[in-house]
Amino acid sequence: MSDTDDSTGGTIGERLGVPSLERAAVAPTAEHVGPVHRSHADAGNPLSGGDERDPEPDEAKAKRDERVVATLFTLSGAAAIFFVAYYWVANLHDRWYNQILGLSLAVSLFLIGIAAIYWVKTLMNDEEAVQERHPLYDQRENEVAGEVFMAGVADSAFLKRPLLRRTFIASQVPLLLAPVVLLRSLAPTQPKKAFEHTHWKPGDRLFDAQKFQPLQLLDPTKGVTLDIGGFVTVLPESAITYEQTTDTEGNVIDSVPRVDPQVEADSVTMLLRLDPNDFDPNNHRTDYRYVVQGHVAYSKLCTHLGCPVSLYEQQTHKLLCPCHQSQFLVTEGARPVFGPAARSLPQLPIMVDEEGFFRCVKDFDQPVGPGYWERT
Amino acid sequence: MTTSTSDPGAPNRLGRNPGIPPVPKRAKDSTTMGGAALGGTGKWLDERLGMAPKLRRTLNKVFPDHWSFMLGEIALYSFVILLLTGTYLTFFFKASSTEVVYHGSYMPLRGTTMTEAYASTLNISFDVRAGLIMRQIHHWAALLFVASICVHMMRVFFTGAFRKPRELNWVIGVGLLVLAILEGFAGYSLPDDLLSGTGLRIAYSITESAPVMGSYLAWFLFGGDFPGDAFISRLYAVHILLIPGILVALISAHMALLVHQKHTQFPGPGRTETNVVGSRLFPGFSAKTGGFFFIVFGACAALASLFQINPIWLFGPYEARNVSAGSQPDWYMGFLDGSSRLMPGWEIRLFGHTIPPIVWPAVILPGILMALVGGYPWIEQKLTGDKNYHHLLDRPRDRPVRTAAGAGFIAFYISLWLSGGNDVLASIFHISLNATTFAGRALVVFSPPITYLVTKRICLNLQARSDAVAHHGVETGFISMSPDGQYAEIHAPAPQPKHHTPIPVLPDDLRELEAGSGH
Repeated sequence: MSDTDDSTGGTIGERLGVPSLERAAVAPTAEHVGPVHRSHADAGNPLSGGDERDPEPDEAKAKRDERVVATLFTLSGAAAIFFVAYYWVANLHDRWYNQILGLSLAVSLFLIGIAAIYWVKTLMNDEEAVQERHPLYDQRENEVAGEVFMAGVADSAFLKRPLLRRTFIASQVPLLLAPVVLLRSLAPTQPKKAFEHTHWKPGDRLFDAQKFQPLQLLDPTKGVTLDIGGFVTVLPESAITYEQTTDTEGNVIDSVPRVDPQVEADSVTMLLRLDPNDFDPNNHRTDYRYVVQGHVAYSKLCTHLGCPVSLYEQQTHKLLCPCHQSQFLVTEGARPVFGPAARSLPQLPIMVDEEGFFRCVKDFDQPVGPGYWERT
Repeated sequence: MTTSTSDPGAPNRLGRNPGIPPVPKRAKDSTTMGGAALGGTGKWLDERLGMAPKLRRTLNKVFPDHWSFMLGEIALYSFVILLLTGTYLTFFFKASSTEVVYHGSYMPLRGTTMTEAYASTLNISFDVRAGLIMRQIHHWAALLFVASICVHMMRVFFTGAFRKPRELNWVIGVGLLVLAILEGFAGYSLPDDLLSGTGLRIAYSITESAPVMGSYLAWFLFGGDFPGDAFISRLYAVHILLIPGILVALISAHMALLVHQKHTQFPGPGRTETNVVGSRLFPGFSAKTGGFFFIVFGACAALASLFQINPIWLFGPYEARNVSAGSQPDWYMGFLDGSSRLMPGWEIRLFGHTIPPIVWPAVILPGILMALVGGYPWIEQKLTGDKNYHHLLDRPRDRPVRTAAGAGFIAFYISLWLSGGNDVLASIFHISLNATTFAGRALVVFSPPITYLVTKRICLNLQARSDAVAHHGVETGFISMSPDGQYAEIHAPAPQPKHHTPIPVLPDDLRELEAGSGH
């Protein structure tokens, strides 16, 4: 290696009259390289790096490289100008607005990056340099620092005066607790009771959560009815309100249905209609008092993590949660038959009034959704 | 300036050379107008800050070159891109759960009731100039941020760069990974679309599942029962202030330690445990790394232009009664999704209390994984008894047990990650969903030990091949016949990588420099 250097007149340092320092420091002889690793001898070791650039590029090539870099910078600037102009001029709603805007920015950025690296690779020497590491740990320094620290501790009288020390520590404990106590404001109420109840009230009608109409057993003109094998997502009627827009004379011109997210989040339920013969007679999970002509209602909240159990396979009577694939068998009280859920979907007690409307008898008899510590 | 490359005696070269004191060079350099202005500013600043020695040492700081050292740079630069684009997005995003009726230019959702958070995200996507491109750059950069941290960590792990004295920086890095994942999750949860709202409901349920204090934790985070109206604005403060603030602090500490302890390097001619061989900070390294920043930024911009990401307008606003099938989180949450799917429904009921099965895959498992990763430097020290300093890196094959253990860990992670999309796999390959779940459970149990054994065997074989090349050279393809009729292939010595003698930088102490130069 040093032969190559000699043929071109030595390294730069040597030509400038400082041969001894660098030779001594870095000549790659055995005693300076240290322990030889296996990988040193390995052919084409990708880890050993190595700089293969010609140390003395000729001026004509340098000129060419300079022009390449200058061209890249110019193009980058042009792309940036295009970006700014397009931002102003183009219609925001054009089909390709996002693509053209983004690509002009990308091109401008890319070209700067490529130009910079090309510049380093061709026009800068960027010779390999070597720097000595300094030991991180010095026993003497460590001892002196320790002594200085202990002298400071002695001067502060922290150890010598226990009353001072103890009152200081005693005062810090409540002060550090204060911010923890402040976190109480994050939620003013207690969770346990809220988890045990939903927004279903006795007598609430069941409303279709998409059509915002009540569920009907007898008369399709008065509400939504189900065929055997059908299922529908329902909400208590209290969850649905209408935001009405009126004109100057007080006539309603627009009415947008609104679902209360807080009610929906714990009360969302599925009403399914099965052939009454499909229920497994041996299962004791289904409360048949609240099955009306094959209609049965289960909480839609997966007992795994609270996703809505949205997929119903009629043939197998299985409800599938699309989040983590828990499966619940509706003919056996919606007990989990596969996947990570541990508990059955709670059944909502329902009845039909004399007009044929489905109504809630009472709230679920157990918490809906996923488990938690206080749950029995 | 470029002409000087062919003229080693030119003034601007001298300051970089150990032999020449820098002072006369500065005087010469300032004969040009730009040089005079620069020198004047430098003098003005130096008179006030006294930073010249520090600046000189910084400019001369040596950074070893290797492609794998750029992985951490990608992480750093994607974080810078996230700060830039994220700041732009804060000008338009409204972190509010107040319900409004949408009247913007995206027709399918006009007249729909939605939160202001979702409506303002639609507004950024359709009615703010450059809003969509900034949003998409932000999201792509977030994916890249976490991905580059992971790959960077693999580099550090497999080459042993975490060993003494760098254990603390490894732990900071693990902290950065956890925060980056949380930050990403917080970010894509903000728009309050159907996908992210479902994710938040899952997050609420996981928090709720924690033994003893879970329901209170969830209650405090959300200000009450799910969804409440407090969480989006709280999450926003966490996403744009709290976590980025901690990230900036930890990244600064990470970089400061890197500079203080100096970079590791691969072994090679002239490279020892007591030196660093590579490019100086100025101009070589800074030009390369500066250029690389623009390339990373350009890559994010190109991805954001060409590949749609998180099209929240297709998902619709969050409604607890709805969910889209095949919904997938961002890639870095996938392993938790997978572990949640694979865990059987084993619930523990004790003394009137419940430990839901989700605690194991979603609370305990990530805790154990992060503790294992964070504590690995000490685990290895305990097992090998090696408490020495290590500045030279290992080739992965030379540490077969560590490499195999790391590969086994990755196999475990990938098994979970794949299971996070098992419904998608089931529908693509037309196999039963239940079969993919069972396959995932089998993979989680069996793939780590098998990967461990196979990787270890590969490492040992590669070692043997390295040894063979070192001792016998490379095969040439020429067959020779000996006088007694034996055939043998001729081996040639392995070609050595071409290497220039490194030039030492200025010593740290100026007096040492002057003594050494002999002037």
